Amino acid sequence: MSRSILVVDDDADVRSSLQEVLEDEGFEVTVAGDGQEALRKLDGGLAPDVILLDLMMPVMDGIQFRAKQLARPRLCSIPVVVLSAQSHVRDLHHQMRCAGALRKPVRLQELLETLGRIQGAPGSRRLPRPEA
Amino acid sequence: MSADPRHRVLNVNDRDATRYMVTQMLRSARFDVLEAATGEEALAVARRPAPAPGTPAPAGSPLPDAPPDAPPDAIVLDVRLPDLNGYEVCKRLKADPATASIPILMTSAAYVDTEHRVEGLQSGADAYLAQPFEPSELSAVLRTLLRSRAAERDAQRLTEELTDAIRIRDEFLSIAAHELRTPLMTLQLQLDSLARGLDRAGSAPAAELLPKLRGKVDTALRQTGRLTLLVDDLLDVARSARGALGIQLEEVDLERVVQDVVERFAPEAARAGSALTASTRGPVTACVDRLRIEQVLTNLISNALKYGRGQPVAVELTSGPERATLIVRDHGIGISPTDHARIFDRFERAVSARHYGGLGLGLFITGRIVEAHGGVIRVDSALDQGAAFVVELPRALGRSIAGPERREQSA
Repeated sequence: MSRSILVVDDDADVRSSLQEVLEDEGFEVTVAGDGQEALRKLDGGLAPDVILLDLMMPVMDGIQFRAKQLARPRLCSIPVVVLSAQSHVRDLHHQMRCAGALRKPVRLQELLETLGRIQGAPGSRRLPRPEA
Repeated sequence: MSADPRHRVLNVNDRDATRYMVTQMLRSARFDVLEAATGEEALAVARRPAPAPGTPAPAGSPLPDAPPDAPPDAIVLDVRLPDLNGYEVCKRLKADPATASIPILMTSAAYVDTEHRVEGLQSGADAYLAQPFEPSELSAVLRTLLRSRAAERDAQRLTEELTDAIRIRDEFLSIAAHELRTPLMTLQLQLDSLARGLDRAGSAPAAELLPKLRGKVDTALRQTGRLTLLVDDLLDVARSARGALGIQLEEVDLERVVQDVVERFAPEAARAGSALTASTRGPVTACVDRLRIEQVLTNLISNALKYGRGQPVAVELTSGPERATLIVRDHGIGISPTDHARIFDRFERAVSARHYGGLGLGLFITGRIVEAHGGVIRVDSALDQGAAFVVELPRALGRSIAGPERREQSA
């Protein structure tokens, strides 16, 4: 059973390299360029096991996205790992109720360990896909 | 001191004769005088808002001297008044932020003992004179108070400027750190992944693995290129803040510059799927900094390709006897008119679509370079309708399109 991740980041190179390295590690990866696009894909039926979320993005930023995600019963339990260049990202961990908060640039090892912790955590749920 | 504007002093005294005498002393000492005979009247005059610049004084004002509607710069306040006493007036003036900084010289004929002088000072009076006092002493004390007040205001203004400068510097550092981390992140991921790939492959990587590994190296190298450009941009922003962009002027053929830059962008244009064309009508000489104008064109073309939605991008060069005009035109996502001015500001991010991904500094620097040449830059654009960035440069040395004071001297 493959683990799936939604990567949300406005930088094209960050998106493509995260996709590439995570796919190498066996993840199934979808990407989105901003919060709005991410929400669109999730509302459309995408059901990742975890969301890797950048904060500073145009159109809809990470904080706005998280608020909307939490307001949707079908999406609110998908764990989120914030991945941001902002210095105070660890403070946001609690405020945004995230499963993890990593500061860019992050070493691949630390990223994989954080994702591994969430995947293996008891009670981390896999959402069923909605009926087509 | 003779060139200083006259100061306005409010003379508060309930005895007509004494009030008149003090007014004469003040006028002889070259003060403009406002009068009040009661505590309430004093408070009302002191609390007037400053008139807007250019407001004419109303005709037939009952108070002596002009401008009658402006608040006083200092107050000579007698202790004995029919309604509120001087201590109370003083306390109220000092408690009100609008009047707290007006120096108050308290006077009295009757209450001259130490206890009363101390009470006066404790109510907030800045000085206390017992009558009868000499005109010279009145004037000297007032001048001293006004001098201190002026020094206080200067210190306050300086503090505000420094606080502002610190805030701008902190914003800059925060933006810089953020912008640098993004390419660093990709760089690091690629190299980490490369290392893991090599570890997994053992001593002899399979042939089909090599192009993939090579791809990671290419991406990593591209990031170091981005980082270098970013660091250069940040240095330019810091330089421009000091007014020291370092423009070196020489006679340059702008047609060649356009052709060179457009040629350099051919591979990137192909990747973006945009047809990039240059349209020029022969050589155009102008006195400019070649590298900096290349930088301007590079920034504008790079933006056009990034936000151009794969539509054609056109660079045009036209000229008249006095000025040369460069236009970079795309048919991409466009910029809303409400953002047209803001996109040239230093730290605009996530406001207009042209500002994420590290390009927020580019337009700012471009604007500063054009300005340093005595030129102007503007954008014609609407959402979804592409954008045309128009740069106009004076061709001759020392000229300016923007305005006389804009041109930076060459280093």
